[in-house]
Amino acid sequence: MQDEREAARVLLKIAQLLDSEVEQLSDEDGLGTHPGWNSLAHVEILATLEDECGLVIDAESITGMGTFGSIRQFVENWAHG
Amino acid sequence: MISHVAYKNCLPMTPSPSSVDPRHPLARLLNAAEAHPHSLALHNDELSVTYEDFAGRIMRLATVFRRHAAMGRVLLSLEKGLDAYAAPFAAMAVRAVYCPLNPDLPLRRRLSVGEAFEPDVILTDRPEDWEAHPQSSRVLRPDEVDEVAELPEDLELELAIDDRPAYVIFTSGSSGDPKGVVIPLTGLCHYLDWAVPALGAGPGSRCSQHPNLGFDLSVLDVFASLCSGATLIPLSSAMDRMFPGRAIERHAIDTWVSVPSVVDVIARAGDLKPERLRSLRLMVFCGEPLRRPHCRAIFDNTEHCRILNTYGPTEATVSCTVVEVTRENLDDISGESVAIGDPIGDMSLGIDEGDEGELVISGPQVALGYWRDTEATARVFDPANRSYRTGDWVRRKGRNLFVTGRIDRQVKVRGHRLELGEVETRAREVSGGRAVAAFVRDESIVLVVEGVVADAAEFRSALSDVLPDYMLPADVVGIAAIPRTPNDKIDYRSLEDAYAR
Repeated sequence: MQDEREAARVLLKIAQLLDSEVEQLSDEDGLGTHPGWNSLAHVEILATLEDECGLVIDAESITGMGTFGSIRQFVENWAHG
Repeated sequence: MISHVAYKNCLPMTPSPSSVDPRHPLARLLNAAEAHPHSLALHNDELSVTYEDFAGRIMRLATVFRRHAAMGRVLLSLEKGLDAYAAPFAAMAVRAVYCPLNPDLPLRRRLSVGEAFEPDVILTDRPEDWEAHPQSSRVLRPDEVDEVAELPEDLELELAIDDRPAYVIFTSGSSGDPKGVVIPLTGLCHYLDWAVPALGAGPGSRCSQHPNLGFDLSVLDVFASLCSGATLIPLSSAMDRMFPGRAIERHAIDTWVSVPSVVDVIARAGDLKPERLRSLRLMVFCGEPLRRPHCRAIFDNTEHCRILNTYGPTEATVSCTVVEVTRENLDDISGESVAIGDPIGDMSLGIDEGDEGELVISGPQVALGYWRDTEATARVFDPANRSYRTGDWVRRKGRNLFVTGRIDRQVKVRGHRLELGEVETRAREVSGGRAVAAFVRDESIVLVVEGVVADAAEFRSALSDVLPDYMLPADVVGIAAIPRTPNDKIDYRSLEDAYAR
């Protein structure tokens, strides 16, 4: 329960960075395909994931976290890990 | 003065001082290469090129250009690799004019620049893009250069400085067709007379290369670094471009050149902190208004970093004013933005009427005009006075000169003449310093604010305390990130399209 709440809290933060809500975001939304998700928003998303979940920012995670689906997966793994 | 220097087997030889103008960019580069052959000219994760090798590559490219584009035209559409930096010098070596074109621009846009420029040679990493190119240009990939060029024993170089075009940079014209700004070698050399000592880079110094190569701000970091023996650090990886604060730390960059909004990017990445910015010794800003919070943020997070604010349109060779911003003078020289400072060298500034009006620039850095467009040239250039009407609206307050907006951003809404820049300035204050953009749609003002706008009515009411009613936006909308052009300036065209009804 605690884990899910943590994951939901982080995902909400990500959605807010996109001026959106978690329910409005599909797994396919991402860098370049969602209207608010440009490179500057992506920088903030990565920095948030680094702060909240200890994401290591590198070339791999910059592309790896390119969609809301992959971010959801990452955040859920982190919360349950 | 025509002068020659022989260049043997790509090993730097001393250009005899009597026969070479030492202010010529290539003479400066060759002098640096001779003095410090084993210092790095270029360095990042993918590149590590000494000055000796860099000079050698210039000569190799120059032999190709001499064969196919001597005194002609060279189009460079290259990723930030060795040839992107060597080819401009090589073009100058054979007195060809070069045109740097951002390879990330949409293909149609690149092709239209190619059509306008009619190059003899196109050097590009993506030759397939240019296959349909109708002109008789020779398209070359960097790795083909070695096959094409047998290195000659001697290469005669003419390193004289005259009014011949050095480069042409295409900017977007209001009609939508690209407009080529033609910069003479005299203008570039006058600029370097300021830029090289102003950056004060030299052997051992590490200078960022952030702007894309089709943006003339890159002339500053590229030439001021490579003409002084410093190491240029091309920021080309996604990591370095998205996280400039970490790039500064990782590459131990001491000299930084960019548009001021990069400071916002550093902040949003959470990297505005001393451990990231420790190596910085100088930051030079150009291209858009520098604001007081940008400077405070830098002063608060660095110990010895100086800040230079510069201003200039592409039509006057990158920048033609400068002011050093210090902790002490920041408040005195800040209005809505930081003052643009004083003209450099032999440049001069004039306001067409009194203390407020359109800024007119004159002096040796003023462009020769627009590429093959006498009509557009005549509208804004006055060759008799070597002057250019910038279209920038400026205001003089005491000793300080402030750019307050674009003349073409002066609009008429329901009979009222107003400055969209002023709406933006007030909105920025009300929003607590967020990025904003105002534009006109159907006779009313739309204001876009970066981030969440919880209560648009409340925002509007706060604005009504500082703006007259006719300047109030009809709509205030939040946006996750304001779209920006490849040069990091606010992209009004795509905003207008996005919010068109």
